[in-house]
Amino acid sequence: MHRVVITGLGVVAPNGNTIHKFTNAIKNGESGITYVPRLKELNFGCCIGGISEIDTSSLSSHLKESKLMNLKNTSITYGLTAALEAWLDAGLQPTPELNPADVDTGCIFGSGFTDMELSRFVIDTVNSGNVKMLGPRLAEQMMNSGVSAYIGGMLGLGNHVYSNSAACSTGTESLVMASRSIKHGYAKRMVVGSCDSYSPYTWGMFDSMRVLCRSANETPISGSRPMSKYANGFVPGAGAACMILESLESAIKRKAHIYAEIAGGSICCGGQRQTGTMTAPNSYRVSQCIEEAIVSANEAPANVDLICGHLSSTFADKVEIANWSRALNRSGSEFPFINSLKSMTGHCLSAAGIIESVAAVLQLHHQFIHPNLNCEELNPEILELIDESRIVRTTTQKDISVVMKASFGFGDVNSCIVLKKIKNYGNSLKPC
Amino acid sequence: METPSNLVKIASILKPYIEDHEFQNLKSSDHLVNDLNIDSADLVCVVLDVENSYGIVIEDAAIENIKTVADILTIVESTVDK
Repeated sequence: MHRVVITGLGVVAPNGNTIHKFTNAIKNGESGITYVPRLKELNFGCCIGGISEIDTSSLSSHLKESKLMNLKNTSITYGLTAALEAWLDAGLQPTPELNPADVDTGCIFGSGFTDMELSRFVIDTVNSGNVKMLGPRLAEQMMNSGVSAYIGGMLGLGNHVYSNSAACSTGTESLVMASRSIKHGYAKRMVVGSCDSYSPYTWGMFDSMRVLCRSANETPISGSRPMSKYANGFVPGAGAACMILESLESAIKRKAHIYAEIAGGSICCGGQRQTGTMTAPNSYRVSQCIEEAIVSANEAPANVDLICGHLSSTFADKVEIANWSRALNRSGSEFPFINSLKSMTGHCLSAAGIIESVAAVLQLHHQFIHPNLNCEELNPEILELIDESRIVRTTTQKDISVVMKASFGFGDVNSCIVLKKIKNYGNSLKPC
Repeated sequence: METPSNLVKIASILKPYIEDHEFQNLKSSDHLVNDLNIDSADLVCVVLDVENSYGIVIEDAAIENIKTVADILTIVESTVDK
């Protein structure tokens, strides 16, 4: 069994499209949620969102000009950008074009929806009788594994390269799956992440479900309010993030910078039984997922310092808090600190788990807890479970050693990871 | 008939598809796969770009015979001349 550590980070988030910008944003409580005029034109109830800014300048040195020129899928562009930043941050270089593939490194990079704008282009082009104009570079971008295929090619990866999809649990699930590959020796290193792009054709389906926030079109940054008394729907978002995971031996051997250890994790499904449905989690299985993650990390629930929740700013926030409380057997002022990045980014769907996990790693690495915005008045049902001091509302410097991050998605799917700070990096390296 | 201007034009079409950013002095004898590292999907893109650039249609059967820069030039010269 190998221990798994994080040696590189990359992010394209609504409130920061590099690790440097993102770190500053979450420290300062900066929202990336804005008014989206196109949604208003299309008669959406929710006209706000968190749309990550695209900057492909870093890709031009590592992709053929023709490949970049023909890259039409925004999800893949997000994913490539985050993956390249993480790879370089880990002190690695892409395998040169003429070298053999790097057989020690694999990739699991997920997505939820394909780029619906690109789907529309394909449908319109075919329907207009101009199928020839689609060209040869769209099939590879429309396939579900498109993003991992592009990343694998850019970096020259020769181990298991694939894409997962588990709705809003996708990013956190990818971390658990990659950790297992390294833990059991199938790979030394994994490029891990997920992505989701903005499109009214994706967001419209959620708007029609009436699960989006409709009350903040005039004040976009106040729309995402996890744990607030006034939480009334999530704000959609788009982006990607990536982590480089590798075995502790590999990281030490190449003297890599280590951000944190992924000490454990769990994935499960509620089977849409008991309290679970297609769109709501089975609370018993959520609690068990958290419990299994803690056990796999060989950690005591009492040692958890911070929970980076799924907490999407809906009525389900209070249910999630109850599930955490039951799983950790902690409540009131004994409950860990808790926050939700979605208060700044909105809910980035399949990218949410990985973007929020990057935020969790940054908090652990830099020893701070980012604020949970827009919860001046807390949900009273949540306050029946935990003390209000546990819900962090201003940036707080804290000595934190163990952080848990969980994500839940449609299909009643759950995933959870346990992050630990690494102390004494060197000869006597051990988790704190 | 191959003309220098056509070679220059084809070179500008091929440039984004060539991995080596420093590559210069394209020769008509260059093999698209072996020398320029252009894969089969990119070759289709090149054909589309040539068609758009010259306002011509290159038949599927002709595409199969494109191996070198000279082959592209031959198709262009013969089609445009018509």
